[in-house]
Amino acid sequence: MSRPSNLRLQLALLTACILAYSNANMAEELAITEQYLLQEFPVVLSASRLSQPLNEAPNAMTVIDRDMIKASGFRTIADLFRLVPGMYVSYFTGNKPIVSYHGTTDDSARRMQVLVDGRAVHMPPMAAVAWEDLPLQIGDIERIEVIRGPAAASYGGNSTQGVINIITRDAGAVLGLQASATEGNGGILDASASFGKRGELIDFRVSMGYRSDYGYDPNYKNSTVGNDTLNNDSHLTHLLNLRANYHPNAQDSVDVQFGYTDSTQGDGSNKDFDPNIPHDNKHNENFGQLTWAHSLGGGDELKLQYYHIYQDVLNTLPPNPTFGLPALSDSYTNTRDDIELQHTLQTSPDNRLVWGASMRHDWTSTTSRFLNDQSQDQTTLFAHDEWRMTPKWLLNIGAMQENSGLGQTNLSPRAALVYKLQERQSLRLGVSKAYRNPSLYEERGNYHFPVIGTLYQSTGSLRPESVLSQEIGYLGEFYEQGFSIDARIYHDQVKDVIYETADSPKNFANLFDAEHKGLEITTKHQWGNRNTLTFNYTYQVLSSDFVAGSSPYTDTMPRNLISALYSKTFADEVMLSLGYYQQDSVLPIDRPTTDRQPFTTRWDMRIAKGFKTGSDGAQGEIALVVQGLLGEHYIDYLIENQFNQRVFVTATFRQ
Amino acid sequence: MALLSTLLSSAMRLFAFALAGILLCLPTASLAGAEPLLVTVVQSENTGAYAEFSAALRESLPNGNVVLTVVNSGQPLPPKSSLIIAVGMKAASELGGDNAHAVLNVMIPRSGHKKLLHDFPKRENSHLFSSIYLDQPVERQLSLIAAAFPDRRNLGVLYAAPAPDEIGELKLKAAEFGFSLYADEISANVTLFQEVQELLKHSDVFLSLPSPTIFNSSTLRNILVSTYQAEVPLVGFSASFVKAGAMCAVFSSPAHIATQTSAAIQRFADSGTLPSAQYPKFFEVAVNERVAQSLNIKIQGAEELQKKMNSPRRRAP
Repeated sequence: MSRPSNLRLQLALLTACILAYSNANMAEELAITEQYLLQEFPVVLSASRLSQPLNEAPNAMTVIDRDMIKASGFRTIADLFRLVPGMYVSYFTGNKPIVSYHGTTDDSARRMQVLVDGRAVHMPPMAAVAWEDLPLQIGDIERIEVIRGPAAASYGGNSTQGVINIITRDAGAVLGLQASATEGNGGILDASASFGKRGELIDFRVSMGYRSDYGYDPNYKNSTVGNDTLNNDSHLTHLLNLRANYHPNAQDSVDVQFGYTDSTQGDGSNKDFDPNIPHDNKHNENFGQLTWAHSLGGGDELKLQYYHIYQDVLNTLPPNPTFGLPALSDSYTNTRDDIELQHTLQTSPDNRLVWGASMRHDWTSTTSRFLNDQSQDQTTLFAHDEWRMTPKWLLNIGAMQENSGLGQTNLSPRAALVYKLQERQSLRLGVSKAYRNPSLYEERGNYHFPVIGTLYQSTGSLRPESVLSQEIGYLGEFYEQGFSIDARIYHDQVKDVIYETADSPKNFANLFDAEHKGLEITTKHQWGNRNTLTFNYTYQVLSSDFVAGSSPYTDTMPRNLISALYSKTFADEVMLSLGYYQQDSVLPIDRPTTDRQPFTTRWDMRIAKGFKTGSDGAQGEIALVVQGLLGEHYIDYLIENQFNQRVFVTATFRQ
Repeated sequence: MALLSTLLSSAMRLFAFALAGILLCLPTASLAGAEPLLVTVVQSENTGAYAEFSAALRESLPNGNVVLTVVNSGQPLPPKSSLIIAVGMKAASELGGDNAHAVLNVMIPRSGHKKLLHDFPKRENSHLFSSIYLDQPVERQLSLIAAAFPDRRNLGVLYAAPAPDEIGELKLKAAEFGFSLYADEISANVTLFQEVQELLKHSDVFLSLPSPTIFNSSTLRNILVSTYQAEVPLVGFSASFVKAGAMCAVFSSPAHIATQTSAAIQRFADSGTLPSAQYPKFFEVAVNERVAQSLNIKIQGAEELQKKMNSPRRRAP
């Protein structure tokens, strides 16, 4: 008898426990206290993760988002910058894009800072960006923020004209499998596949891809022989990217990235008197990046970032019997190691301070461009402050102290005052002084080959270039009307521009001063059933006493630039977009008159149809893109670069 | 049985009412003689939001007929207090059983008021026991969402068992605002992370209902980042939640509650009764413009949204 009663007792106890437990649970859930409602949560989406509202930014800023990237139909990252007012996009050869803003554009456009997830990718020895070598697929881009105007106070050297800030998709932003393939004329053949997974503690994504085309069409006759030039500017690039994010708690996040590209790129031509005969180069670039972000509460954040970039270009010019030249090496290898610490502090509800420091070690090894291996150690110390003086007035002040490691130390300050006329309308007044330190090549270059001799010999001791920029900006957002306008007028005084001399061998010197003035307008309209139109207009005037070779300085950038992108989404997942790009005549600073680009216009079109394959949630899309819809053809940078219509089809599958 | 218990409870209610009437006679009588009303604020803590409330209340009371004393929870009440303002659940739980005083609980959640009535059944249906909640009515939250995201119609919510009253109200009201509702009870078999992923598949706006099981400082990171990556705006329940990364929220500050409390005190001075338990009348909207900008979601400013909410305009279902 004792057993059953014991059992009954146990059961009763158990029931009581369960009841007590469930009651406790209930009480816990019922007993939300005001303390819960009033608690301070850790700031998860911190300012450094998000973009700054345009009406509070200290500079004019253009944001290119995923929708715009898609609607544009562009295959290359460089082309996207056609959607930024004042931006000049061209190609030195089919595989060497040039992206430049305002004056002094040449083939290695080195006056803009280019960051990919905070990684500075303008590499030694020239401080230029090898766009085609970047381990970065267009599909992995989350958004691009382009800061128009000097921003050295926040972004350091090379920011004298502006900053391109490319932000790639978070590790957890890609879910499942996605694959796409593109084929078109001009040898266009691209493919990419990505896979991503989001987890409670770890997110990751992997993407790999392939992109290739033949470059420009051969349609320029050599003057003496009369045969077609051979545009040996094709490329075939393989890419691999990996990104993982570990978030053990609400305060810490560790982001790890690896990227790799391997590219075969055509170089040289059969142009008259060119010793650089057609051959292929091997490009290899890879990087590793580690970022630790720690939220300190109340919006404060500490961020520590380290990255390493390796770049190697194997360029062996084949022997040239006509010139009596042996095989010549113009190869180079570069590395960059950079560590940066940044602390964001909300010092009061009305004031936010960001300060930090960085150290960078660059190394370059090339037998043709220097007499020996070169290294450069740069350090920066920076602070900027955002103070909401009143609900109407916002003051941004900042400065960066920079030591180039090559003998230059400079302080780049900036101040911007924003006045909110109304909730969505603001006026901005900005003044900024920015410096660009000479590159390793400008300071110490010695470009020489056996037999040919020395082409460039830098004597060094250059002063940094400086820009004093003043601007007035207006930003109006009228949501009810579906309209926004962003306009600015600017006046930049550029001093001590470092440019190559006419000596033989050539040298680099602080050769000239210049003035850049202009107006930039961006409007955005949204109306009806998903119609959007982005319109950019630029008017710019360049002036300087300097005459570079054959053209007055004022002609070195197009005076008027227009770009527009219209898109509409129809029922049944049909999407149409049209792009229009117009540019006044231009003769870049380093080109002879034969290369003058006349007034050009170009229409691009993209038509896409999305579809769902069934109940398993798989989706797909077929898109047709026509670049040069009306059969436009024009000279791009060099006379032998003639743009002809490109048509390609992209099929995308997602699961 | 049922009949008997109904009768019994009616009788008790009647008795409580009579008792309250007798108790009321004294303060009402003294008021008639223009004696100042003695009001004691009992703060759960003498810090932060509680102290902010007391300071704001003192400021918002007109000079003259009310004498305000502020004490902290656990301290003795000054003699002859006619009305106690219990600020926060700690103070409210201590004073709920003190049937000798009229008590107005403020800055407590609505569920807290329910718990007080459960713990102190004698206080039910009393005109001398009431609350001003801190949390927001469902209708107001829906009206914020409708104003902020006019193109979004799939509303998702998560809750932990037992289902809070808001769920029933949401089910009733969502359609009125043109929303289709995805309400999911979190289960012990699936991780919260998976529940959020599932919700994000079905919703284009995520409304957070206060729940320590679902939204706490260790879960918030994953919830905010997931909603951010899915480009689904999360509607928070406090200014701090918005600062952490939610897109927007409607909330009432201690000063808002103090203004409403001041009006309730006036009413008590005039009539000797407290208004029935109620939601905050005054509120403001917080918007995280950076999150909106980063997601390219067009959202109006906080002031504009509040104006839009105040001009009632419901969407066609």
